[in-house]
Amino acid sequence: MATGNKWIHTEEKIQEEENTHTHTHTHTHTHTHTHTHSLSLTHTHTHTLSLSLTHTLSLSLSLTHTHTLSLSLSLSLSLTHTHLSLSLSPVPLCGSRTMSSTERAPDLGRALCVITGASRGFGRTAARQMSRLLKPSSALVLAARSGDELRALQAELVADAEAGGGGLLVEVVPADLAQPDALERVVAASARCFRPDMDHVILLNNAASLGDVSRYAKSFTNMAEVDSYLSLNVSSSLCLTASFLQAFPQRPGLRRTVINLSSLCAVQPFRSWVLYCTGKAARDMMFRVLAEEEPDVRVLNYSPGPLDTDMQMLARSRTADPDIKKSFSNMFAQGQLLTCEASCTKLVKLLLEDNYVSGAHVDIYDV
Amino acid sequence: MSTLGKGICIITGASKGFGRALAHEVSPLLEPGSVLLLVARSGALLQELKEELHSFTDKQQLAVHCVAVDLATRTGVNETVRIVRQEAENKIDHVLLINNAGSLGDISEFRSFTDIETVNSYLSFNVSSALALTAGVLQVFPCRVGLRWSVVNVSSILALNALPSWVLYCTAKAARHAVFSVLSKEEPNVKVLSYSPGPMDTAMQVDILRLTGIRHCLYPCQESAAKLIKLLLDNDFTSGKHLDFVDV
Repeated sequence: MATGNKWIHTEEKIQEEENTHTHTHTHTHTHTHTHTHSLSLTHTHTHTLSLSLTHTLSLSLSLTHTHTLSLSLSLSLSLTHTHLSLSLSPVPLCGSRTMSSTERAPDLGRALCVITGASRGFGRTAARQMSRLLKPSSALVLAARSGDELRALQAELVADAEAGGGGLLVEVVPADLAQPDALERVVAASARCFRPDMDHVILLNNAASLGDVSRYAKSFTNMAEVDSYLSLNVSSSLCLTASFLQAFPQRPGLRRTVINLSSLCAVQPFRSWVLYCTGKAARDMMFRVLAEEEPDVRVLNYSPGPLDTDMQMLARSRTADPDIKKSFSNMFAQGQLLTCEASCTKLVKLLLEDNYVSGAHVDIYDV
Repeated sequence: MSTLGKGICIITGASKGFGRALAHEVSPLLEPGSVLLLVARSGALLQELKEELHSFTDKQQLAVHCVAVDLATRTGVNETVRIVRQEAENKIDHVLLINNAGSLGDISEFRSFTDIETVNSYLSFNVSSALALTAGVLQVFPCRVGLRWSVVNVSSILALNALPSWVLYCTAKAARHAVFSVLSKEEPNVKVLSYSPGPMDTAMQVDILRLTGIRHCLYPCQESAAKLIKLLLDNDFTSGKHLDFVDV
């Protein structure tokens, strides 16, 4: 797909770009009375620091360049809109890395894994792949609208686990996440499946809809339509994640991982895709805030690439914009769409290596 | 450009703060026969503002209309579009829509947001409403030769940066930036600007202080409003761009 203009138009590029593979960031809150912000910076962007930060901010940043320098710096910055002062001091590496990039855990632990949109497409593949990486006595909670499809998947996964010699509890929650009681039911099922000897809880926010891509932004005069789209694609993942974090609060020995199924559309505008781009941009930001607030929660905005799914079929048949439509049709015709399996394998790799910066937007092509 | 032309200018959230300051900045720059629609919930405050602008209405033949509606409701948005449509008969050369209305929302821990209705209602006002209103006004004034179209999204540094406890506000501002970025790609004849006005001496900042205990160095609304208007006058920016008050 054409890269076009990212909507990070301004020089500051504060919003993370997933293809800056040399960057990382961590931050520590400074003890001042002004806001602390954390930024993703690459060494090429430091010259824009004075432009990108406004008003009065104090920041502490650790920058680590993994490939070019083995240097850890702590920058203390005090900024007003006219003045930038910097002090540098070496600090030990800190932040959200838990393993070196060569290590990979063998599995996801004895885990509770919750997947939304699990009946088809990427969600179903994730259920299959992740279940194979769960230790015995783990549990899987699968939510989607289609009870039949969920139950078929449940039977398959339970049988596979048994054949492999391990027990896997699988619960299904047929639910439309935009409905009021749906989230409670998912969380209740999760709480039921949780065992105190579990060492990992994982939430994969995968359920989503494309929205009407046959129309342009200027046609969305009906507020209810936009509301309904945002409810499913934004609100429900916020509320589900919030409830999940409350149901499974921080405690020693329990890893918590939250994944957001993101998209290139989260960081780049596409004609005739206003709802989808808006929903994905909103979600990415939402999960970035979570990563900032709860440093012990591992948060990943994973952009899976163009997948061969029902959603993709809708995209190539309905997209109003002729260039995008053609681009999708060509990808399909030329066998260039990714299988869910191939993309999910990359997601699993990220999870097992557990090396990603929490809150980062990681695209499959970066992995 | 030294004026904003003979235009229809719509400002939402016009009764207070930045919106109100914008009304003052914009009025002297609209040519005779222009229309200024001030949209907010409070009819009383809008009427007060209208009276403050009377020197323009008299001398400059600027028609100022107060539209007292709640933009968090579809009725409010539809009513605003209806009133815009009434003014469509005027021969104008510029449509300037400033999507300024917005709310702070609850500044609270991420994990506290378990109630979907709270989140839905916040997104409805801060995201859906801006899209639906912009779409409505675009339909009233389809692009044509000789018609200049400018849309402003009043944004924030928090459209681009995540801030703990600010999930609602950050999410909505990021969403709005996406809406207007897509619009800029779709409508080459509409100049779209996402403008982050900086921390200003407004009621919203009073709320921020009360809720977070954090006091910012605040700028007068008038200063930021003047900068935005200058951007619109100069008309040099790339459509879809996100600009911050301190960059201008």
